[in-house]
Amino acid sequence: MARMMILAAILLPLGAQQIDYSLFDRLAEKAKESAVVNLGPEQLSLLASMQPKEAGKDFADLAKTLKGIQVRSLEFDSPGQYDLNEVRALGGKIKASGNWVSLITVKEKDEFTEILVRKGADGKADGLLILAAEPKELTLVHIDGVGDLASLAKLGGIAGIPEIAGALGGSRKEGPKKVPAPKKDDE
Amino acid sequence: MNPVDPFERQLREAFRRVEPPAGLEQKILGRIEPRRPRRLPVWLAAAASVVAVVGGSLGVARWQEQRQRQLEAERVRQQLALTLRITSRTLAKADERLKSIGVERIRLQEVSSWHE
Repeated sequence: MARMMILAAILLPLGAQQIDYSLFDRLAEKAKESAVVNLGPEQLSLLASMQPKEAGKDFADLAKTLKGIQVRSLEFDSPGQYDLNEVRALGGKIKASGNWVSLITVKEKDEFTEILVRKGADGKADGLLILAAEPKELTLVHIDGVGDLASLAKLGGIAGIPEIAGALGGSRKEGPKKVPAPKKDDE
Repeated sequence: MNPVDPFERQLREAFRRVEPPAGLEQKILGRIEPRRPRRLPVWLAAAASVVAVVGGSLGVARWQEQRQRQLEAERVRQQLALTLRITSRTLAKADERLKSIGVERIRLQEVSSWHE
């Protein structure tokens, strides 16, 4: 796969600025491949405005609530290119702010995945953060304004974005189900 | 020889060939020449040129702006698609790990209650 480097965005939403991406930005220099996504509400609104009226309705509704999307995905040539403790510390720092709650934490010897949601003012989740570390791969996905993957999955199939089922809340036809998220936290 | 009838004499007199005055042909031809179309006044031509240039420039600028918006929207679309791919891939890996310890599936829906 060719090296991917997508750099964009001029404006960072305030919500996104609460998370420090500098660790990932620093490690990007060592990475074999890196993907960076920085999207603010203006850009999402722009895409929504360019959609046909009927097809773009779902997307336009979602674009109203989405405040920003930040993605850092790094792939390294070999293990040991980054300090796992630094990544764990970043997760700890985010949780220590008190705004984020860990939904799922999966830890193994030299890797972990953590999914956090942010508590909104109205009590509903309004942010989603996925932090995943593997020996040769580091991923951070921060969705600001949407706290459930089912909403995010609605992006698939509209605006020409490939439909992604499975891990992102399943098929769109199923619709959301109120199933409590499984939680395994061995902390 | 018959005396010439006065009426016949009058007729002959009337039908006598008379040479046209000099320059008559040119005068007639001059009158039947097609009229040249009127030229637009200079100020009107200049104003029309200015309107055409300004209108054309505005049209080009608008087209460029629209084109720029389309390019930006396409870039955003690609970034969203990339986000979904990375998110999906990351969750699929976590899902696999959870399956290996007996948890059936990650299904995150809207969180209405909080586990503090």
